Amino acid sequence: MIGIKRSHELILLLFFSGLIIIMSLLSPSFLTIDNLLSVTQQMSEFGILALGVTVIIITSGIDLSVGSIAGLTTIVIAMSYGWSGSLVAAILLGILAGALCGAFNGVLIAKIGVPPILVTLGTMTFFNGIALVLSKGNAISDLPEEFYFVGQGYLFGNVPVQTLIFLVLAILTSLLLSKTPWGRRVYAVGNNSVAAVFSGVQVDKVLLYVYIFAGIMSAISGWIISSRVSTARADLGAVYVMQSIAATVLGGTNIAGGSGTIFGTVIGVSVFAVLANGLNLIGVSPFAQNLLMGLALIVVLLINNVSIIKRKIAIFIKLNFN
Amino acid sequence: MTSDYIVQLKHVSKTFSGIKALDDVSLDIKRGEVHALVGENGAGKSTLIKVLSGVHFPDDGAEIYINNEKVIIRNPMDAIRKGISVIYQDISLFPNLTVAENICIGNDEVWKRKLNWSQIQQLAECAIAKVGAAIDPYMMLKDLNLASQQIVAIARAISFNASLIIMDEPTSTLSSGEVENLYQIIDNLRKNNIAVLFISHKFDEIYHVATRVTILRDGKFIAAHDIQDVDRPELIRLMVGRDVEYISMNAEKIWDEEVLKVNHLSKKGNFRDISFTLRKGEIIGITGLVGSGRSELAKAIFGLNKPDSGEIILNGSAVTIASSNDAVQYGIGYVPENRQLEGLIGKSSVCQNITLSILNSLCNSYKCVDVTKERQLAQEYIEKLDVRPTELDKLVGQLSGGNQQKVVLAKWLVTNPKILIMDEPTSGVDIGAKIEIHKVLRQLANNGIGVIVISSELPEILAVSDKILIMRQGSIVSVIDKNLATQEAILAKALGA
Ligand SMILES: Nc1ncnc2c1ncn2[C@@H]1O[C@H](COP(=O)(O)OP(=O)(O)OP(=O)(O)O)[C@@H](O)[C@H]1O
Ligand SMILES: [Mg+2]
Repeated sequence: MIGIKRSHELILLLFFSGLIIIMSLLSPSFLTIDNLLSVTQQMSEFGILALGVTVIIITSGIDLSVGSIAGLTTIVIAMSYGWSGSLVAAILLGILAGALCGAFNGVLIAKIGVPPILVTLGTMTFFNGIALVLSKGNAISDLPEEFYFVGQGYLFGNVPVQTLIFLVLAILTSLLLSKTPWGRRVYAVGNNSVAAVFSGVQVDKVLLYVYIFAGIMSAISGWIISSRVSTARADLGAVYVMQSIAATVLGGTNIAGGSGTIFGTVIGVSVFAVLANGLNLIGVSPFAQNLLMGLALIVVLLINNVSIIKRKIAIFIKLNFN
Repeated sequence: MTSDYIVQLKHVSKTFSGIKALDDVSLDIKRGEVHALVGENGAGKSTLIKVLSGVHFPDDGAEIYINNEKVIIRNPMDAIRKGISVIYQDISLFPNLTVAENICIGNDEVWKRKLNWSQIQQLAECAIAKVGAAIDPYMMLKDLNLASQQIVAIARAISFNASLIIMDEPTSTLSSGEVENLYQIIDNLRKNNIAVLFISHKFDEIYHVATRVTILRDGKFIAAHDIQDVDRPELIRLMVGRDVEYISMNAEKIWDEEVLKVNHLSKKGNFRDISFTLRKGEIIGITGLVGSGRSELAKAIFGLNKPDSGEIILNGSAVTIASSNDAVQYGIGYVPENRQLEGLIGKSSVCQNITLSILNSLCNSYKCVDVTKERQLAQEYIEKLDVRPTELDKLVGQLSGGNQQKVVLAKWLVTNPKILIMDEPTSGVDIGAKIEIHKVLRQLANNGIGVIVISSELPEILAVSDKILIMRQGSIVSVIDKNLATQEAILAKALGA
């Protein structure tokens, strides 16, 4: 269904397997079902953000505002629950808010033509500002017991609910990208938007939906985060922005657009989660953790460009030993 | 005398994922000669140039000699330092730098001798003067037209002391005046003892400027001759392996039905008061100099260039075509002039390029693209148009120029258009494939499509059209019936004589 089409994904998969082997050798508690399930729990929130980010990067765009949208969503959910008393309505409103934020980005980018990095740099602060104004900068924690289910609950025994949500959304996004006309157009726009226009593709519409999609993913992520920490706060989600971009690129999505898969992104996200979890178990200090995660990112990106490196080596050998 | 040769390639092979694009090719270029490299689409011309300029690394066994010295070319910069510069079709300079900066960037002299800005300007001016052109070195590159940008690229090559300048289809984006100018420049280069290697599908051009010619076919070296030793039919035979020439085909039937009527269409600075009718089954040829407003008119009909006034009438009713998507819905197809930039999604497969415009109609009941149906359709059309290789999953960017053009054509044919507009449909297409494309056009017309062909190549216009519109400075200056038209008459009208 998802299919490993590109050699990069294979390399990443090997790297990931190696990582798992090393971690389980170093820490006996790593390779247990409970621990692995908790890894998936930890990765779901930023994994869902990364799904939206992946689709955007494929169009050769970028979205720095996903974290702020997540934060704003938490506030909208909490406050509208306060007014209405209905949790379902509150969550729907929260997701609607995320979609609107995405649409706002999309209109500026697709219809007016402002570069995505500028738009979302602005809206990153702007959406966060709305959340701060609405909440007056406070954390809101009067949320009902039922609300905690998606962030803290389990299904089928001990499978975290958010893991299941992430899985479903990942499969859905993957199907959208690989099977639907919209997905085809997303790749076409990212590859060559001029040629897409000349082929009758409504590029502005494609882009608008891409940013709305990312807005909705951010909202769902925000919903899960606030459910896990039992709080709504404007800055929830902010830490995940760069991480979700990094995981996407690690997963093989071309930062210049045109190629990338959800499968790759899921592995990219898993690599980050396994590293964080494993290093914790081994007892590596949080400071050294950052160092190692950055290093891993660089190593994989180097491997990704292995053909260029190989060519350089071949030429070097020819010049010096022939 | 061996020292005559500035560049010699021997036993050059290049394999792309198992397929030999070049197979034991050799190429000798003498100092100061103008050498033409010819061959069908996919013969390996561009690949050979890329090997010589350090873009591709050849397979083992290849030998490259520069000034009789065996060398290895590591990368494009290395090639430039060794005296080999390439003028690519898409120019590849820096649009936001000045002419002088473009000429001097990467030049070691500038660093070694710590040149200041005014010395850099001088260096640039000197190089431009050597080309025999006049361009203000302070201008931003992006403010120059393509022809002048090409001259800047040549000047840049000269400032690197190039002894060989390679041009890949240099005239395909030039107007006829600009082409004359380029001939002049090539002549100048030769006088300065700089050799020129150029790729071209245009025989007039080859016989006009080249002194020698090397022929490739299917990645193999076929022959090298002094140009006066091969006549045109012989050259074509060497390229294609058989005889070919343009065939003028008449319409089987032109219906009375008007598929497209354009009434007094104007757009300031583009075209003025354009009126014509296109009937079902008819092929209209539009010709004129580059810049006479032909492409702008085509884009207006395709919804990508909003006209100021006038109307477009499709099948009897006036319509507004506000976007390319509208145009596709109305059954209009448009094969653009610049296929790399406007026609193709280079990093996507042949199959996905062909179906890009009709994805919605390929959907199954789950709103997903029905891949089996998609591939069948694409397969049918690449066979019909003889796209080579017949691999649906090959990336379009890896096809040779002519085959890329066929893919663009296929993309529109699958939409079942009522009107097909083709802007320079055979630019960069070899002679054999050109005639095939002409045949396809006639077949389409016979099946009831109205076709508009825009072309600067008069023999082509004469061979394919039923009616010829000649444009000059944004207006239609003449409409000639095919049977009454001659090249001389058309040219005179286009030039305004
Ligand atoms: N990067 C690549 N990867 C795979 N195959 C390639 C690549 N570049 C070229 N080829 C293949 O090599 C062959 C020669 O291509 P090339 O572009 O050199 O032809 P050409 O003679 O320049 O044709 P044209 O006149 O159409 O430009 C073609 O079959 C093409 O598909
Ligand atoms: Mg070529």
